[in-house]
Amino acid sequence: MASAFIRAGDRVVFFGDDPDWFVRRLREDGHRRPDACSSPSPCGAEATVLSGDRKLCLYDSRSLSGTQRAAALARHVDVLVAPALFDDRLLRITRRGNTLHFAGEVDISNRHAMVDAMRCASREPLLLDVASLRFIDAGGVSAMYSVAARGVRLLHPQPVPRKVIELFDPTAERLVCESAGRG
Amino acid sequence: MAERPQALARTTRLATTFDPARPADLRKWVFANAAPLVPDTDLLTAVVLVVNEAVTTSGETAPVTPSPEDVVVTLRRGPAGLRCEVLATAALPELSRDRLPTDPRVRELWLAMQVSDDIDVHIRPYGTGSRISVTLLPGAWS
Repeated sequence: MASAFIRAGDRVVFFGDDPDWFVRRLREDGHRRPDACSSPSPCGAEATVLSGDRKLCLYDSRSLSGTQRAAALARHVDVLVAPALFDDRLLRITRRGNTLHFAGEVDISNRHAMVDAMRCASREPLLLDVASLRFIDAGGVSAMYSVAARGVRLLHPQPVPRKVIELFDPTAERLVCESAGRG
Repeated sequence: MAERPQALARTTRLATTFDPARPADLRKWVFANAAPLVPDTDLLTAVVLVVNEAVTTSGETAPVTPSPEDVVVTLRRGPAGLRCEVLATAALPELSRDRLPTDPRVRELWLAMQVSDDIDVHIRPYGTGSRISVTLLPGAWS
């Protein structure tokens, strides 16, 4: 999500159900600490995130009427919408294009959601962006392996999750780690 | 980081309970209480991972799903290093770092232990069950 923000225009509006989560994600994705202006911002956003010369206005989509949403859209150049396939505030799974993005932590309480998301994705081999996955337990990796019969490419895994994955599947038979993530 | 000298100077014993439905709470607790002693983030994350596997193993091998008060986790930190202990009601086999356990109940714990050579896991009989100890020896983080 953070990289999409950087690629997008200078003035971007984000509609999500958890603006705080977005700010946290930006930090975890290694962007220098975003400067979040406190509300109210001139455009009525919950917060405005500045990163370099980029500007992202965050709205809680649940609190907007249709008219308010249209007004917010009219004031901005681009829009990001990131509906989550799953979000329990510990793990958030989103899909952008052919890539599933896992952010947060996978453990016994939510690994079923990871498995469901992987099963529903049709692309072969499956692409998983795990740059923002801070934690995955061994059971999570085991479940990932089980559902990855056709192979999974894991993009930017952080050091410890990467170690667990490579210990579980040392020959990268099914789980292939590509490029290092930030620890 | 400023807490480190104090954290090393004397042994502190802390305890909490593990809610099987909210393992992230325990990870947060371990992270917060181990951080004064372990400044290396990757090593700290590895400790959290192994403790997480220890409590998950304890919970998964229990004959009935434990209630949040049933699983007590203790953490000792000080000059002798860091030690986290959890009791399991099941009789579990001891782990050897170099040998994949034949008992599937402890394989994930064994795998987690492989993440860092500085982290040891011992399983000892305790009554009719087991005591799982996760140890980070002093100096591992220096």
